[in-house]
Amino acid sequence: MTEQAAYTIALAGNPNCGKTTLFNRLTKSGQKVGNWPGVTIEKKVGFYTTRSQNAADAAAGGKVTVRVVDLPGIYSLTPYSEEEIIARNYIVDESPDLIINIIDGTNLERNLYLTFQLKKLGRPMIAALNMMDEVEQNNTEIDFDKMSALLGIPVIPISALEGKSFSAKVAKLAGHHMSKVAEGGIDRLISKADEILSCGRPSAPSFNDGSGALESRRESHESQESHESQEFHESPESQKSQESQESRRETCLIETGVQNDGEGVEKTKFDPALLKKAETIDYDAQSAVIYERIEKIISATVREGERSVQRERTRKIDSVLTNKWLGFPIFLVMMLAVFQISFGAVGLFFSGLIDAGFNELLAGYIENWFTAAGTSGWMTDLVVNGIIAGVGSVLVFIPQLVILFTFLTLLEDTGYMARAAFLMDRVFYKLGLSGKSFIPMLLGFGCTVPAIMTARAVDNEADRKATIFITPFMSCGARLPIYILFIGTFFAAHQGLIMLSLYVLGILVAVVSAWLLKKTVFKGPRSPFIMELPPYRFPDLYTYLHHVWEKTRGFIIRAGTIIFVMSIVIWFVQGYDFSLAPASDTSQSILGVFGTAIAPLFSPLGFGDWRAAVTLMTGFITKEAMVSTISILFTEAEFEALFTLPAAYAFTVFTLLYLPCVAAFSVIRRELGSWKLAFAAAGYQTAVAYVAAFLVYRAGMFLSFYL
Amino acid sequence: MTKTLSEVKPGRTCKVVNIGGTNLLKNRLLCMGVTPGTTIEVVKAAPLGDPIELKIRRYNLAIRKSEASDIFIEDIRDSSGAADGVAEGVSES
Repeated sequence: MTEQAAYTIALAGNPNCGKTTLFNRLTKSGQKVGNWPGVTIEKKVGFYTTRSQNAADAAAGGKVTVRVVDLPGIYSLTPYSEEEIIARNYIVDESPDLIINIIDGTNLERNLYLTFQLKKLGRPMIAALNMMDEVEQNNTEIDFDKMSALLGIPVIPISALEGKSFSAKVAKLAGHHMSKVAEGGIDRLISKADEILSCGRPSAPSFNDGSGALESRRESHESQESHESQEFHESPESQKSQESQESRRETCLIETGVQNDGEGVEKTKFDPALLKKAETIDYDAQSAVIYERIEKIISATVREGERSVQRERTRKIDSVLTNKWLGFPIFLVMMLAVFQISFGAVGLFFSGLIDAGFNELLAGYIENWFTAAGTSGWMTDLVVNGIIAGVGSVLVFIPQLVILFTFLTLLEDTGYMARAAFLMDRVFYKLGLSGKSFIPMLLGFGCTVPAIMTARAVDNEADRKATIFITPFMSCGARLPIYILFIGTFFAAHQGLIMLSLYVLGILVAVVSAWLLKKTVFKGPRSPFIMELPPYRFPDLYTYLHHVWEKTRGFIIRAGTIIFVMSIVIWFVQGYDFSLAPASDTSQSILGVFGTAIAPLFSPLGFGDWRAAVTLMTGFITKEAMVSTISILFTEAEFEALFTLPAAYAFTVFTLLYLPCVAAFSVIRRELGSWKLAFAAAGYQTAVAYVAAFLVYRAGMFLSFYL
Repeated sequence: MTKTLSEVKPGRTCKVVNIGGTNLLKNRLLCMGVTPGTTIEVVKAAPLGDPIELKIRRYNLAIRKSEASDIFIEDIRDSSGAADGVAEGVSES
């Protein structure tokens, strides 16, 4: 489908302007979610078919496929953020046939700033004024024709909450004010887009005409190349015919309302490396001038209504949610509730269902079926104890993740997450991070996997990586069973205290690591904290469910690929010896031999036994697996005899801090975007665990000797 | 004597004169509409005193106090529009 798209439209707009909702409305089918090359910023591409008015297309059956690319939500096109560089370079490199600039109609001033910057890139553009339902609620009136004339691009009022969409029906039933002027707006937007696309593409690659003050900063080879190609390929005649074609296209565009404002197109591309020296670039001196022009346009076209329903509502909600005294308690209660529901009884109930269905019912069924069919024993073992058990141990997380994402996405899409960052920033500022690191760290107590995934919200690259490095130190729910086993056996008298000490130790290590990492590896200019607090809004239902699904889907795909392969590998090394024959005893298996080999490494920590080493290795599959490994490898008496008290505590400390499970590791790898960094993270965590366990063991020995 | 935005108390408005600080900070603030001559209302501070919430160009923006201290301002008024000195005179009487 990708190759067949005749035209490409890029959607651009500020964060919180309803861009994703419009994207979903335009492209109900054929959406593809991926990442922009080299970064973890999401790239969404979708398609829709339309009837073309272009003669050439009409000959081909009249229907054309249009590709829609959702650019990251941005406020401007400076070289100061990855998102902005991506959006800018996409438009310059790929020259989309049309840009649809979505504008929050309730916040025209700041939204139009991006419009001005986009216009400079010289692509045909439509402005879609969104949120018209809210604009009308406030009795604000906008002269769209005049605004269109002043901006030099068609302006079309829309409301994502209109038409036959499910969300619109729900909104209507709920008595939501529906915009009159925006009725049919999305259809009008599409037909306007068709009109512009029908003008056709520019006949030749567009040349960089020398322009503006930034000429010197342009990547010079680029303009040279295009000049060269001009000199080489163009004969005067073909140039002439091209010119007339070009002028026909210009006329066509002007008829549709797209004008080039004659200020010169400025197609500067930005090298992502600029980010590293952002401090030294003074890019946009024009801001004040642009804002002055915006103010003039607004005063000529907008009659501000006497009401401001949304802002009043937001102010009232915030008077509670970011209240000096209530802000924190409400935040903590909310987080606790989300936590409790996701990882507590409700989540566990559904996880139990999956466990029963997948790991017992399905595994049992397949085992019987295989046996009946006379499949060889090793094959049955591989499928049942390797693949199903391995993938199943990860699938049981899915209900917890779905519930968690359902709540978190709600908090995100309504606008609360920005408030959470506002509340917490002070605390994390001290650590060298920002308030946005709080959510991943908190979620780390539940499960490292979604925690690492939510670290995407941290916008500064160095901060985000540091957050990913330290999040696994927050003791996840899966580590609890092993603590319970050890504490129950060795520290029965002080269960609560020892348990608490582990959680606190995790937090302390995370905090110290954050500080250390920010001082060394992830050093970088402290990025300023400049964050919009968007008005509270009800999320669009479809968009909301889509967000939840996308996050869950990412996890399921990993469970199906990386974890699938890892399960097979681990099953093999656990059950087979080096001659590739089934091992008679775990100690003879590859894992057992390896465990025996590395066991001496753990002697300084007090548990230099091969079984302890193997237990730690199976902890890489899932932390829960450690308990079952211990129960297989040890008798109760052996277990109690092997660990002294300091060694037992050192072992739990090591378990708390060392490398995370396979699922977490694969997410870390994906989110860091490099194997090298992922191994660095795992190595760092294991090194920290080793040092901490060593210190704990030695201190424990010292105390038990003298006390 | 030039005042900075970090000295403006919640509930007051002021006008931007100039922005200092690093290029990164200056440009990002300019893009967000914090341009000379713009009116800013300081809405509130976060519970721990930092960051602060601003109202500017009909939307709400949160920045840290350290960033606010790079924004030079003048003409502090209370939200009703009375100049600062007058407002204080009233409260003293």
